[in-house]
Amino acid sequence: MNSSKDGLWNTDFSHIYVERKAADHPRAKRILSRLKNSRLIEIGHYKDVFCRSRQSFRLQKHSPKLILAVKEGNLLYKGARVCQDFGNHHFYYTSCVMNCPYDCEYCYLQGMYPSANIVIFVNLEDIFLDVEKLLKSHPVYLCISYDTDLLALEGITGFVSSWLGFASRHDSLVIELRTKSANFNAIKDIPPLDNVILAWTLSPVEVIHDYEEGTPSLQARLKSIKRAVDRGWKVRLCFDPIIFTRDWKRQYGACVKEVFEELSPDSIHDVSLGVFRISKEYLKRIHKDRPNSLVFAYPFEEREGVCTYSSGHTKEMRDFLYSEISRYIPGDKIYF
Amino acid sequence: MIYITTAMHCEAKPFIDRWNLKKDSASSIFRVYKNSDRILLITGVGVVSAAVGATYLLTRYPPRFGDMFMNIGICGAKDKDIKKGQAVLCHKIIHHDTGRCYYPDMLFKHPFLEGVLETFSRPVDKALRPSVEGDVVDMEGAGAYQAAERFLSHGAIHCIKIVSDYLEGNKLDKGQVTDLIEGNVPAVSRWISVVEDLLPLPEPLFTKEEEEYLDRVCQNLRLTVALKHQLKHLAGQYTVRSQDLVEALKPFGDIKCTSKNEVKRYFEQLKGRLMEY
Repeated sequence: MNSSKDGLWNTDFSHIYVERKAADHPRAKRILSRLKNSRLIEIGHYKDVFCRSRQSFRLQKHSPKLILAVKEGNLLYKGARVCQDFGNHHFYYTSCVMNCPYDCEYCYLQGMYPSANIVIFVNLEDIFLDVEKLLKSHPVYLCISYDTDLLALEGITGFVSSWLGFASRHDSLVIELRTKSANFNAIKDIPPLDNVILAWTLSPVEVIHDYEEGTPSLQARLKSIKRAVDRGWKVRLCFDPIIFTRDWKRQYGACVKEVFEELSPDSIHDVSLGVFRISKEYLKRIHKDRPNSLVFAYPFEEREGVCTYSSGHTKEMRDFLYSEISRYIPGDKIYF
Repeated sequence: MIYITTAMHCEAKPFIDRWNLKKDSASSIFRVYKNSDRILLITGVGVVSAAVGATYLLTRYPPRFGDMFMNIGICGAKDKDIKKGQAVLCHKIIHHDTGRCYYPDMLFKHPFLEGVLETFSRPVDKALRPSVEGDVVDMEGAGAYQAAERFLSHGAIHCIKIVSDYLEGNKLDKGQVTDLIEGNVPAVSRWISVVEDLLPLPEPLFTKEEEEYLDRVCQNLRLTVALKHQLKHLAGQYTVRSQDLVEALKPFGDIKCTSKNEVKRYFEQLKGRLMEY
């Protein structure tokens, strides 16, 4: 909801911090050409801005800035245990962008990153080289949009198109692009690829309204999905994270019904289910920043450093969603 | 509360007059002027003085979430395109001696020019001019920022510099400095009020009655510091879930523990009650 004070904040990306070594990169130039009204500030290293102590994630979310940088060191990471591997042995993820343009109340990024500003690593080709090195040893399942929403940022970065181009040249690479965006339009002209899964996170309308600030509506997401499956793309539906509310059963029941009224179950590649879970350390940081959040007012249970709902609630929510979804999708295509 | 530092009294005077600030006689080390929501300290000239002054101000009058700090003063401009008397809101502050850079979060719209400030430890003359990287130069900004960032978030620290010369070694008298600042006081003052309104105030989790009840329970149950902390955390979550905290605490209000075993038993019971969802 807009307030009368909204016009007093600088617009998103009003300022762009540019690392000296990134400034001449063609991708940086392309991004800057798309944001001509932004003010540029030269920096030595992205961490000088992104990793300052005493940043206010909540304040920065009112007017996030872009940071253009060159990624060095480790470019690919082994998939985390809190993430679903969908039966893939060689599960990796990469963060060519850090942070997300949306502002979901439950998002783990606000506990993981010290800043709400968005870092774009312009040297995508270095990540491609590392993927190619891995591909020499084994097939790779790679999630490219975990700590961001690449499709939502496509108008600025063009990274999804670059990744799809890369995937089209490497059959033994499977890419998952996770998104809440309704921006299928940005890739509508790219022919579908058998080794790319477009994965949409779906939530009930009430959860979107209350906790997913700035994200497209459920209807808008479903429209995008419909266009993607009609074009022949593999689509994964992710009911993840499932958020506990006092009325969760009715909300998620209605959500599943709406999804499969809109989409043909046969057109869906698979479905992923996961109740909300977050690292204990991230939760501690978020509590400080959002003491009044209802999502984080749940008395979480901790298991091996990961906080989640009570085992009773977890089972009840997962079983309910599984049973609702299995009315439309065979059980072997539902992952949790 | 808005915290302001200036290097000299002639820079502070227009703000003292505008906000009708009164000298705080309790401060003998620095000259401090204040009213109920503005507090201004005169640091003296130089980067170290600015850091010491800001540290003193923010230690003696500790800021809370939602407060703002600002360093204001005159500066020299490298480029004559920036007019004398123009206010510059600094989006990058370079400490010339150390090479360290500071980046205030530019969250709010404003009516000023924006630019890079470079802070030197001595006056910049024609000889030093070629080594200037910033758009404007001063002798305090980096010191004030480095001190303030220990106390406040980067969106709540700002540096506004008013151009007084073009690094040609000309000296201004106090009256001229005051006049330059004076011309910008209305705009700076208006902007401060806007930002003050946008910075969120802390939202207390508990009502006074809930606070008192919690303290009573902690005292009666003889909870350790760690258990008190845990109880307040659970109680906070309980109130956010819109549950009646006082009602939940009532059964424990009059229990007085006399042994560690009792503390443990009643704390577990209370914890269980507050974790109901």
